[in-house]
Amino acid sequence: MSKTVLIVDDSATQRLMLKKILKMIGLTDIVIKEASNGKEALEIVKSQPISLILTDLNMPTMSGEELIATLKSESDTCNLPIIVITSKGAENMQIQMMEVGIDGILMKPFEPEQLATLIQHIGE
Amino acid sequence: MEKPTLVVNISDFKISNNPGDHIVTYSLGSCLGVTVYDPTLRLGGMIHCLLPDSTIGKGKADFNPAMYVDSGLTLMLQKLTELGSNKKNWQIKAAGCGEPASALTEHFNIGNRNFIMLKKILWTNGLVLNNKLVGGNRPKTLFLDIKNGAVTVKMGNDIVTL
Amino acid sequence: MEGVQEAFISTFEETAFQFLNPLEKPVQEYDDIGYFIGRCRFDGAINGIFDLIIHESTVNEYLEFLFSDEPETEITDELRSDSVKELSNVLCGNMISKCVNAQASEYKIEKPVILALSSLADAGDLSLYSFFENSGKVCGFSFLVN
Repeated sequence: MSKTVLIVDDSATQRLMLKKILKMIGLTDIVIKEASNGKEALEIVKSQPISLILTDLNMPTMSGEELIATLKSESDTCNLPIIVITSKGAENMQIQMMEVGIDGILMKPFEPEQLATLIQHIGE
Repeated sequence: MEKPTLVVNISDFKISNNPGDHIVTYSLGSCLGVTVYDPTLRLGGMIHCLLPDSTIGKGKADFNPAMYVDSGLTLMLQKLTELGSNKKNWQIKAAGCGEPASALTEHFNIGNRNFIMLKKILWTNGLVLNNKLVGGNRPKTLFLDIKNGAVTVKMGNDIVTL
Repeated sequence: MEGVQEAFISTFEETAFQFLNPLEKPVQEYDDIGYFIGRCRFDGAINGIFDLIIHESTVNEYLEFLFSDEPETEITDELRSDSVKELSNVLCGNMISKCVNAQASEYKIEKPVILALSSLADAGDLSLYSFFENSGKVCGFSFLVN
């Protein structure tokens, strides 16, 4: 069965770019789901198996930080790989985020190869 | 390092499927050198571009597509495709894009812009870079071995495998 | 402020894949038609306002390039303003991190908003903005720290 990657970002441009980047780095046999905030993301996570989450932090309704905290607090989602993709200016967040156990963080603008390396690292 | 059999000049590219060929380009400063290799066909190409953007130079009668990253790389990728190469197989590596200490003021930022244009062309074609050695102020010599696709960069006495 | 201008140019070029050339003279008047303004407020270790002034044709070029091989992606007005907000946010973040020790500082960038150029001209002084030429169009920014 194909793996499912969940993209969580309130910017449609960013979601489209991430979909294109996943294709560019060779992840063509995956299913991509999209959410525009943490709340929508949680609903998707509860309804189906997800292999990887790519999430922004600053989002309306429910932020990326709240989404991560919720996922980490529940036994069935605490091991779900999470990569944070956020605007620069959140470097202070980087340390806090790594402490809560996310698998990687990328600051925009980033290069597709950097995401490929992080995903490969998670796969190992 | 094997003796080069094909030399890529500035604003030039070369393509080969002869396993005996060793392609080289010398003294990449702010210029960009790119190698593209298809291991299934043992087919490879190398380009040496001077400037990022051909829209500045297109009016010139002596317009040479390989002078610019956008027109040159696009042309080389097109030639590789015409030779039956599938972009899914391409191993793409880049070197250069430095800021040589001798750079003139009007050439400020050329290295960085050459690299940005490379990323733009790759993005447009849905391609990613497999490896790179860019930036810095040391001139780089780039080698491609057609037999196995090995790419090496020489900076002074240092040799780096990409 | 030189570091901030450099951060603007390099981030813009790396994100939008378009090159900027600084304009010597400040631009005094604009044709209001076709310009977007993306504004971000930031607060924390430093606080202030970042504005991006960008022409619609620059935005179109950016989106057409981003999704050139994705024919199913329709470039709508909504996507255009979304991309200006996204670009403003990325630019603002990169400029803030030029000004403060980002790893040790707490600050937050508010969600960007899109403004009409006329609202800007009423409120402010265009001499506070830095302007660039970009494929025959003008692009500009201001980064005002309180």
